[in-house]
Amino acid sequence: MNDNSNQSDQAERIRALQARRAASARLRPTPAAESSSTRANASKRRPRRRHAAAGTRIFLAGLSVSSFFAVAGAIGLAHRTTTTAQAVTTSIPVGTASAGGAGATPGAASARVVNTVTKAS
Amino acid sequence: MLSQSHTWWYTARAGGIVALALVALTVIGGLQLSTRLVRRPAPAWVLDVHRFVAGLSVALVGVHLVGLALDPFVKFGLTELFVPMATKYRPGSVAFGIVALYVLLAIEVTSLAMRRLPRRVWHGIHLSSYALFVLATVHGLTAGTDRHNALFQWACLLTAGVVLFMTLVRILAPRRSVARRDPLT
Repeated sequence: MNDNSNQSDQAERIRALQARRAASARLRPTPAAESSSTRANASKRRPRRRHAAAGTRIFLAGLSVSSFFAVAGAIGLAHRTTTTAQAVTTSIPVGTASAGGAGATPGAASARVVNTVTKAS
Repeated sequence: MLSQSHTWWYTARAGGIVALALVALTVIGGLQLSTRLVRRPAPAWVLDVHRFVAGLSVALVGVHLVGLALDPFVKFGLTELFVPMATKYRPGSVAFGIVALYVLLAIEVTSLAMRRLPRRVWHGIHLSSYALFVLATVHGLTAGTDRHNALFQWACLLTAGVVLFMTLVRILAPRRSVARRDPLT
C-alpha cells in the first residue's frame, strides 16, 4: 500500500516536471533547437562591438612604423656622413691622424672614424 | 652597396629603439590604469591602447631579432639570440636583452590567457613588467651602438623618471577601492 502510494507520488512529480519543462521550452527555445541561420541573422542585426580606442590603434601603428623608418633613415644618414668623413681622413697624410682599426660593430667603427676626424681637425 | 650591406644592421637598431619606446609606453599606460593619475582618458580607452601597444612592442622586438639574425656583420645565430652569455659581443649587456625578451613574452602570453588563469598568477607575472622595463633600458644603454647618442640617453632618462614617479605614486597613494569603501577617512 505504502509502496503503491510512493510510486504514484513519484509519477505525479515526474508528470508535473515534464509539464513545466514543456511550458518553459515553448516560451524560450533552447540553443540546440535554434537554427544556425537564425543565429547568423541575429549576429548580423547586432553591430559588432568596436574597440574603445580603434582610431588611436591605427594612429599608433602608423606612428610606430614611421618612427621605425625615421630612426633607420637617421642611422643610415649618420653612418653615410661618417663614411664620407672617413674618406676625407684617408686623404690626410699619415702621422696627423691615428687609424681607427676594425671595430666590433659598424657603429663602433663609425665612432672611431668620428674620433679620428676630430683628432685630425 | 654600403646601404645594402648595412640594411639589417639599421633594421636591428631601429627596431630595438622603437621597441624600447613602446615597452616604456606600455608600462606608463599600465601605471596610468592602476594609479588613475590623469583623469581625462577613460580607463577602457587606456586599457585598449595599453594592450595594443604591448602587442606592437612584441612585433618590434621580433623585427629587432630578425635584423640581428640577418645582419652579416654581427653574425648572431639562434644561440646568440636566445641564450644569455652565449655571444662574445658584450655578453652581459646582451644577456639583459635576452632575459627582457623572455619576461616580455611571459607577460604577453599570460595577458592573452588572462581569463583562463588565476588572477593572482596573472598579476604576479604582470608585476615583472617593472623588471622588464629596467632590463630593456639597461640593455639599450649598454649593448646598443646608440648608447653614446645624447638624444637616446636623455629619452631613456626621461621615461625612467616618469616610470619611477608613477611607481612611487602607485606605492604611496591610497588605493581607490579602500577610499571608496570608507569615505570618511
